[in-house]
Amino acid sequence: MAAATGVNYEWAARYPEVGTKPLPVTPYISPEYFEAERQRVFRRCWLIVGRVDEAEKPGDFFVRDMPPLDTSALVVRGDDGKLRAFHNMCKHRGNQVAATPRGNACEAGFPCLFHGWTYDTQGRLAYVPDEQFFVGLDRSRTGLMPMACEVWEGFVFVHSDPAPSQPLTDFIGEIRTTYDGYFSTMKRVSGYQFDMNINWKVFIDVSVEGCHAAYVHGNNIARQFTGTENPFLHLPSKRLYKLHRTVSIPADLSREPRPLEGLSHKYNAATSYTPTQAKNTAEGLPPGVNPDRVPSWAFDILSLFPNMVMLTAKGTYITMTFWPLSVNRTRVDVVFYMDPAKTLGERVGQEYTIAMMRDVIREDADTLEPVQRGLESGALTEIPFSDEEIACRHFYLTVDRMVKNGK
Amino acid sequence: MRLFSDTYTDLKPGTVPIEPYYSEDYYRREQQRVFRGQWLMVGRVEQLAQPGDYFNKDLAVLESSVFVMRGDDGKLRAFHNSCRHRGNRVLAKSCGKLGKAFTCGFHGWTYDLSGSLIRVPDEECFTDLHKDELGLRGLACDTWNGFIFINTDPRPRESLTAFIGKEMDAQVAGFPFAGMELAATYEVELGANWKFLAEAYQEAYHVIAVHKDTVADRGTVSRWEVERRAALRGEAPPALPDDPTPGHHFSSVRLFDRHRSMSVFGKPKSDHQLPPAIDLCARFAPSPTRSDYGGLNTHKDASWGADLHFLFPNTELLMVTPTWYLQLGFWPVNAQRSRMEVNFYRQPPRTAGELLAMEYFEANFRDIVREDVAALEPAQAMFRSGATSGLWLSDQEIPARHSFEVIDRHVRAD
Amino acid sequence: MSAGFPEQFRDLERFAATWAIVSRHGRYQHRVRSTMDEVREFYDAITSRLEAIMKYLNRVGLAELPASDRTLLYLMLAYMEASRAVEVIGATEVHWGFDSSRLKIIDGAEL
Repeated sequence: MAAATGVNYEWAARYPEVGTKPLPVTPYISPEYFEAERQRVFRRCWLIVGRVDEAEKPGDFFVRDMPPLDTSALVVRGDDGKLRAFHNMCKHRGNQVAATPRGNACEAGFPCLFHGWTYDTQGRLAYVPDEQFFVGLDRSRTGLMPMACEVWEGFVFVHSDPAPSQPLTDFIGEIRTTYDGYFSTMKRVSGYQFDMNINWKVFIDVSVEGCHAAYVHGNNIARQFTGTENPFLHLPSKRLYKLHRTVSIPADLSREPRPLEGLSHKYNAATSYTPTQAKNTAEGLPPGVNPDRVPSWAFDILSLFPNMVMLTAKGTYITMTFWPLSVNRTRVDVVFYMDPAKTLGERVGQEYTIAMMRDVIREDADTLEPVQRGLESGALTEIPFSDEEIACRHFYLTVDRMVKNGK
Repeated sequence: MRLFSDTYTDLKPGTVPIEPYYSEDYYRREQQRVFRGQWLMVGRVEQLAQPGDYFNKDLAVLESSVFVMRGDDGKLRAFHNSCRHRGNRVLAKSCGKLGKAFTCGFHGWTYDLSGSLIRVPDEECFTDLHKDELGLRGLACDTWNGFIFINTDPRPRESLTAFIGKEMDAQVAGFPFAGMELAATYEVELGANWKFLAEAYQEAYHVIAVHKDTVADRGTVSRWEVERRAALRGEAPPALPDDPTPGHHFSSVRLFDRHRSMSVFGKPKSDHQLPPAIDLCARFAPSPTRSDYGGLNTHKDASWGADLHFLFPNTELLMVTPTWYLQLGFWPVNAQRSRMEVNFYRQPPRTAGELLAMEYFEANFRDIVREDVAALEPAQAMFRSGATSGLWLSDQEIPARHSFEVIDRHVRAD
Repeated sequence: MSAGFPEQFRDLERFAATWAIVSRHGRYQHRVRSTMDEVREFYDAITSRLEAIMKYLNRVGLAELPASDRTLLYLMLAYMEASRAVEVIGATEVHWGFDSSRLKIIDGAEL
């Protein structure tokens, strides 16, 4: 593996279409550009709203707000076993029909709490109290408004167009078979949400480059990755696809772990973002994870277009979903997944990992609000992304292509 | 089955469009055509009993703060609360009592109780200043049954009497508004369009669902539940006897040119033993409690519960007994935000028992208000989703449809 | 609330510090922030003496009620509030509604 050390334009040479030129700041600060993103990116892409195990049995449902679509999605497994997604909106007076974030609707259906209109688990309008007073109402044509709903590797995707021209497999593209079963063994162990005063793309940018680690994560975990050979955390693997991208984070396996970290590794070697022994290689992983088989490997970042970033390691992954609320406000939804702990030691070790990564995400977040203010100041008109930051550049251009060409 | 729409045939059944409930553009037209130049209820004469008494009203929809004041001559006047010098708010407090004059806190311009500018400090430093032309900008102000109305047009196209109209006036003729006192005001700001808020107070359909634990008829609640379960199982609902006077139906509806009036069914007093506090109300509430009283149940409905009188564009009176009533104001803050104001007026209690009974009615309404508007914010959050372009209304919700149509007519008027 | 308390209802004075609240806003907030057990304890105690209290308070007109009975009167106003939770809703709060802290209650006439 040729480590990326200082040779200018090494990555641009590999991905010449991404180029090397500085890029305008406009997409991070313009309300008009943001409106175009809402219409041409978020309304035309498949968006992840959850995992299939959140709606496993017939009647199971969950609700997710989707701010850039001005909607709340209701994902429900019908009594026929089929998973569907709807706008969570009663056709009578518009109230949200699912009143709890999750549950099972087999018994009661979805009775709107405002006037009692009731929808079944397939979204059909089953019952209208006092129906005889609704002149011209045809219940069979007044079901919940559907959204397209498909599953890839256990992730539930919805599309605002009920019959999208691009199938999900096409949208996933080059990586659709490369994660084969990777996510399926892991369960949600923790999660949290926070709002930030940033453009949604700013957090994705920082997630797909390593150059910031020595500075932002200097006291925390930077040394675990950089070692002495790679002080600026150049990333040895970068794969740029049509819409998505992955990068691999290297590990310094030779260092001594910190005391508690060592304990965590001892009892929980399988689930770590900061491995200290050579065993955390690609062994047993599908080809999509650590795709270039980096020998000293910590974890990967998968930037799944448009608004999700996953940190994929061995035995654990984190999803970060970035929901834009406005051009400079973003809701960040973080979920930790891990293989179920088999021993108490493993469980304690996992907790160390969760706490550590929460700090890492916090460090990233703390940096970004001042970044957004800087971008808005007008002091900078262009961003000089480096060759190491080619994945940021690629993400930027993918959004820009959709905004400008609609695909 | 006779429908209200058989009487009011010009109101089309089906859906009403959803866009007017979030559109900024539509809201700007409402500001111009539904609120400016129209009579708006802002208070009661009892609030301004003496010369110099005033109250302020911040009205975002008029982009103004307006105050009403009783002059030395006993006359009520309304003004924009803005000094003619640099625009500062002349009266800073929400209400109060003035002497002979009042002074702007910014540079000391002073006005008398009729709004005329009487003193300008350092007047000689102003060029061509004519004090007699610089009185506070006035609004039209008049009263009906002791309710104070303002109109941004100082010379309105129609008088308040013509605006109220004979039909609406007759609905409440004889009601003892004058002897009442304001017991309490509730205010809440909601992330919902003002029309949508007002419509929730012009239909009784929501009673069984929203108020199922508070005011709903338990029999109907369980009947709906039985029907719902049957429908979800794909079965025909069991044949249950009809309730001839359901509490979630209007017993009668009267739609006028702009205003409307509706009555809901009541139930005869039950023989069941009431729980202690409710029993206390029944025993000690001031009399008369019956409906056959002037200004109530003017339509003489056989099973009568309460009257709702809606005055275009944004005011409702809710009347149940001659001893208390509620006045509700639905004020826009912007296209998707509104402020509701509820005023509880009562006959001054003479005994502790009367006081406690009326306190119960009022506490009851606090809970009901919170339930009434519970659905509005979740619904408003979905209005721009594109999931539907129109919202359904039933025949029983015809006053809400009329409310929308009247506003829409004004918005679209040339 | 140190304005006194009628002797024959001394057993209820222990509720005065928490429930004898002068403003409606205060009484409402106190109800929705109490536990159901707290509300029920207060409600049950008053209910058991209801007839006697009403007979006592209603002996004169409201205007003639002495200052020393005010605390008991405020307690009774809070009782009307508390009864909603016990007799009607079965919980201190309505089951569905915006947060109670958003409802601003401004007293008009005294009491």
